[in-house]
Amino acid sequence: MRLLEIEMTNWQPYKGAGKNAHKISLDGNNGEKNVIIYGQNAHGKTALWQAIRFAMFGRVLTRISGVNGKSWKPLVASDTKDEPLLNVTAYDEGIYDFGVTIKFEHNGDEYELNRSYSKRSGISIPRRDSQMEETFTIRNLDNGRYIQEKQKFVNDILPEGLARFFMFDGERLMEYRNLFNDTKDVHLRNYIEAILRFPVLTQGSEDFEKMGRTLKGQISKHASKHNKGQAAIEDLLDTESELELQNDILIDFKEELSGYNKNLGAVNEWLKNEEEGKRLLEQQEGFKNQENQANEEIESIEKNMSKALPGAWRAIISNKIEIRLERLEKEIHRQKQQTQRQGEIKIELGHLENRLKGKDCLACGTSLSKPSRIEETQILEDKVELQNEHELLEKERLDPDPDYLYKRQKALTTVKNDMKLDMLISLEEDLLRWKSKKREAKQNFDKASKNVSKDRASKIAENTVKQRDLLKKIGAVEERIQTKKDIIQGLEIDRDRYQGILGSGGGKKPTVYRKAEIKRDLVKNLQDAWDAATEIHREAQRQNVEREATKVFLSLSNKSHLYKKLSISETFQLSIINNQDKNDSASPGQWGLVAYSILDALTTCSGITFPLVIDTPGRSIDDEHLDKTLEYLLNSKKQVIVFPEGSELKPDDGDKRFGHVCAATYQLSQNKVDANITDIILRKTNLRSN
Amino acid sequence: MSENDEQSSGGIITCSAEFSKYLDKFAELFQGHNAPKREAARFAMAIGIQKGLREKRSEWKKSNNQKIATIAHLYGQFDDKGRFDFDSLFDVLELKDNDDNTPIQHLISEYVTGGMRYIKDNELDNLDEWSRMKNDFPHLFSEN
Repeated sequence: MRLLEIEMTNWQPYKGAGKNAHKISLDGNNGEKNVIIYGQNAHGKTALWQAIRFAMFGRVLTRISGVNGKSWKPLVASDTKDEPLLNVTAYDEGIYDFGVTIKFEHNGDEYELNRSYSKRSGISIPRRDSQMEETFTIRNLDNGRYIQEKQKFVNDILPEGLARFFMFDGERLMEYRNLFNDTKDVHLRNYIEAILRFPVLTQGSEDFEKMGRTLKGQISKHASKHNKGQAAIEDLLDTESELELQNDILIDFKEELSGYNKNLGAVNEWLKNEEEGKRLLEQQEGFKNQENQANEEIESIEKNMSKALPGAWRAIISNKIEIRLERLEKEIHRQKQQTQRQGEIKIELGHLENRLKGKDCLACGTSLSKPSRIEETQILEDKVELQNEHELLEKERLDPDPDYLYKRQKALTTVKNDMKLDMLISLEEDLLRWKSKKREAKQNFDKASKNVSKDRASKIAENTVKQRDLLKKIGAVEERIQTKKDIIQGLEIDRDRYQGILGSGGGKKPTVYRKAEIKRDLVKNLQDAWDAATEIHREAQRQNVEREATKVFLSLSNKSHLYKKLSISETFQLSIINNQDKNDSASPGQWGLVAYSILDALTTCSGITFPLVIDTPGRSIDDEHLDKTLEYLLNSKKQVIVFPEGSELKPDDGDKRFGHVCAATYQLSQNKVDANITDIILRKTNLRSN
Repeated sequence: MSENDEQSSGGIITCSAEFSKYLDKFAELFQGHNAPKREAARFAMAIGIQKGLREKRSEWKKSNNQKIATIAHLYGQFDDKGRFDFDSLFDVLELKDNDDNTPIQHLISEYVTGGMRYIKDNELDNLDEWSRMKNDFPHLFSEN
């Protein structure tokens, strides 16, 4: 498929319809098919390449959703705040029609595809996607006919799932590289297998499988009707052959048993003369076990004692702390009481003051009569006495400093611990008991060892183990022999039964039965051959992609002298192999080139003809590599549409270097009146004149 | 690390070189704690305090084979992240005289060393010998 023209109506920032619709032509006078569309960020590059995707598949991914994303842009301004596909200014002006028309050439014919939306009848202002209605047509311009199965027609050109390999954002190039690094990603494997057309082959194998299953069903029906005698002959032959085999195995088992019995006799004879030694050895083993048990107990007791020790230091000084704490608490209590007394004095002084002035009683509110002279003298004396007491208390209350006392009280309380170590003493008693047992067991062991030499002991032990093993083996073989005898008995009964059936005679298979069997074998052979061919094709395709990608990568990389090739494993894991035949970690820039190389190789090997549409091509690679990559792509057989950002490729440089291999170059520019609108300006043109 | 280094190294709790190895052995009994050596030293310190066994640093025996045992930094480690206020504890227990200017970390180290001597003399590293504690520390046992 080759794109010839893209026309956008009120599409994202491209406002305008009819003769004011925005157009990009890709049809060069001398067969030039590439275009370069320059534009600063946010000037509508992405919206333009999304127009192609929209025309094809009717939906556009949001910017944030990534290569595996499933988040779609809304058709009209909505609550989601995602940028809508309908131009915002048009929407504000009450224009609700938008869409994209592309003209393209496919298999020698020219087509016009139009996909557009307008508001549903009865809706005044559409606010949700469901309030918009789609119109989708594809017309063959050579014969004037409309295509009926439109989406199928588009999917036959390029399935939507594979669009990611043809239309991509340089900014997200690394995500493609990451896809190849995740060997467990089933989706990725499916995408890659899809682009290399493996599913078609797998489907072929499944078709054979289906045919095989049908034939097997037919054969089963024939078989059930077939002469019973014929089956009996086969069964008899099978049974006799099985009987022969089972009898052979039985003989082997019996020989094995006889060998074990012979060895056991010899071992028993030897041990008979060593009864006393055996008894001593058993005794030794018993003492050793006792010692081991004592060791385990000792270890466990010591562990328990160790558990009781942390924190014991606080208990050791607990009695000292107790005494100091009591003293401190007394002091604190004294100070509290003195503070309380001071409060009381203050109230009493207030009361006396009121009495002097004949004011109401502070406690009950009763009016107090002015005191007599004698009473006044007494009140004044009481006041002085109380003030003196207050002063004295003020001195004592703050000595020592209450903060000092509280700090020390806290320190003592934190350390104070009343734990008792009784448990340690009872554990110690257990410990001593087990240590004594251990000593006793060891002494007994040593005593028993003196009566049997080391050599003799080891020989007795060896033969005892041998005796035990042999008895175990004999038991197992005897069990196997019995099982075998039961099987043989069953087979003999079957043989007699089949011989009885054979008295009724046999018969040939009917032709239809034999034909079904021949077909089944034929289908099976075809399926095997198909699977083998598929495997060969799969491997050949992997090698093709690896070879193509390597070729492109080595021709573009400025470090090609360091690398040998790109390697793609069976699971599509990607690596750069250096001259030392080792995996090379390489720089991010080199991996950007690898991603380009792989995408180029996959699209080449896929056999699908579709333009490569690349947004911000230089975002993941440096300038030198971008130049080489553009040089390569724009001179390849593919149709290439690139959307460089200003700093990636300056329009004058781009036109000078690549203008001759392009149908045209365009510049995107923000409208001076309305920032929501983008204008498309034609720069260099080799376009066919209509 | 030399002895001089340690003297100038701030709040480090130490123990006389005489008990360097023995402290390691004694600490094996404290495996139930996340920092056995530190806990063993606190245990020795408590014994020292309780029995009034302070061995001044100036009297510590020098050893050619052993260096002074470095146990832990007082602040953050020996005081269990500030949980225990040893300054206040030693002050309220009146463990230093008024004219004693020994820094707190050295004072603790001196009681640790005193306690270690008691532990070694009474073979407390051997769990068979713990009933001896009953005589010297009766308050730790409920039957007394």
